[in-house]
Amino acid sequence: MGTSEEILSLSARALAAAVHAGGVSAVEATRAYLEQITATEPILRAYRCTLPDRALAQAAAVDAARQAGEALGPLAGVPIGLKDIFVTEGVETTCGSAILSGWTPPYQGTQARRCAEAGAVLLGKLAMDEFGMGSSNENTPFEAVRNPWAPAYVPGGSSGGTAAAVAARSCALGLGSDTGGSIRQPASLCNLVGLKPTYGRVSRHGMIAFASSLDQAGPLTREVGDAALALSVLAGHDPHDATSLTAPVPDYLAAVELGARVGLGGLRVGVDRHAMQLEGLDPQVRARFEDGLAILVGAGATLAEVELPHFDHAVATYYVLCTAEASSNLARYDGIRYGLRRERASLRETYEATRHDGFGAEVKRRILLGTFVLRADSYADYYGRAMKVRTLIARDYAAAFERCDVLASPTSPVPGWRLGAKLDDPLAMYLSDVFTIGANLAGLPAMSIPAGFSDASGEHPALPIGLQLIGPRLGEATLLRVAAAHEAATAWHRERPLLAGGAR
Amino acid sequence: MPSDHDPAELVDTLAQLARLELLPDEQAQLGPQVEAILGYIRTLQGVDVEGVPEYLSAERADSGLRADEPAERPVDPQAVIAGVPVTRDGLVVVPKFKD
Repeated sequence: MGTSEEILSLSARALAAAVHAGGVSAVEATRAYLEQITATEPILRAYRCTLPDRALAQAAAVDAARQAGEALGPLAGVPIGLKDIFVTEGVETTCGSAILSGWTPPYQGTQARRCAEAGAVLLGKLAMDEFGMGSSNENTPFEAVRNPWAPAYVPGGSSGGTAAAVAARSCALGLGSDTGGSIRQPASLCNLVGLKPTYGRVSRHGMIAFASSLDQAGPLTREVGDAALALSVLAGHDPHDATSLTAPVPDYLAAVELGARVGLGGLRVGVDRHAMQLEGLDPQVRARFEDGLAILVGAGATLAEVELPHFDHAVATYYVLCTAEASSNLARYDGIRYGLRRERASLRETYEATRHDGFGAEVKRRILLGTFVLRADSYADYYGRAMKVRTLIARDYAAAFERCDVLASPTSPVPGWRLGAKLDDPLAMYLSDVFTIGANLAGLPAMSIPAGFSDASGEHPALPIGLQLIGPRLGEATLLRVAAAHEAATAWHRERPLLAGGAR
Repeated sequence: MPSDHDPAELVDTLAQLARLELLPDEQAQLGPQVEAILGYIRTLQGVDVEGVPEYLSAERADSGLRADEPAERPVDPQAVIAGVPVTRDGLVVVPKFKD
């Protein structure tokens, strides 16, 4: 039937196929992953909570359904982890915050529901930066998450727990959320595929809101095909999300096959060379990026030079808009209806004390910034202006896509850094989102794919480096095709960290 | 222009607006950080936005509102109340705010 090691080495797609065919039972697969959680969690702290009994019961139900000849869903028997931003009925959901510690949702969010209906087995909820605010998974009242490739280093954020668990093989596939890069950047730092869909492609109902015009849910996986499989389960209209798109969902797996088997003949990959002059772009990240472009050309793509004239203003624009939306969205955490309450003599003092004790420093910082930019005397100069610059940024991408089919860039300007290294300088942390933010502002789909490692030196171990692809609106199939072609020509996705039995 | 404000004073004003209590050492730390970030954000003042509309993300033909009908999968009120910090007889209890 397969040893634990054999089961853990299967992609999510291959595991689902094996469960369907009866080669592996869902219970066996779940046990293998639960053992891996036990083995890796003392180092990684990727899981906020684990659900072994519930998971085994779900797995047993999948096996019983198969025995009874019932149809199985596309993720049947696949053990997954969900970032703790996704609302799961009956299972504690904290969004990485003390203000929701102990909260058990009374409803199931769409993302959790679609995965369950597809037959996935939920292993647990994964750690994250508080309310999605962070790029290192250190903004947390709980323990910081470690990078499986180098445990003294950050896994990235805010989906750091998801990235760490998928990379360490303590789940077969994970869901994260991305507001300014929080799927793609941790994927880059952990040698994974991370996909942020077009805004509205995946429902936000049941995903705790950080910045409602920017947030999107998506998968982190070891292979491109797994990301396609997960997206095909998640995508599609949801009447519970007014921003959810009614556009039909294409065959994402077919796009992967096309890229892997046929290649990229004629496809144009755009590069903004001005953006590549960024001060602070690590030379090894630049080198791996150029290697990645050469691979795409080898697979049949042509390169095109494009310009994103407002690229330099993306980070500032983002930190006006996301903080404004966050200050509004987080006003609901007042100690009254759910979560933490610090009872005081007056209602106002109850709000103030609850929010003081419940929110961490980064969340407080962003609430204050958002409150500032939305004040009546600041609006036109800050929020209103940023909304206009956002239009200019979206137009830049639209113009670029007249000259290319996908855009390529590094995902993160640097590989991972040591825990604690950037905590004193929030602005430095914000600037690490420079390549990822534009896709959120323009509502475009984007992926990070494994593109190599930095060289080990006396100072740093070898650390993963990702390549980012951005597509036109609803261009996920094109992205997956390009990513699959790159994966077919490389072996980065087969590397494993030491604590998952690998050589690095 | 609000950049003339003392950072600590600014943070105090914003905290009150946001119903957020801050201790003196938090205010002392946050003031310079908020000021530094606002300084960075002010680089947007140099962008020419003449005639540019504010961003609209979705091209919708309809309002996106649902019909005014009960939900298909109603939430169990008991489950909702179970998550409330302080309740009495199924009602949410708050400090008295009105005589």
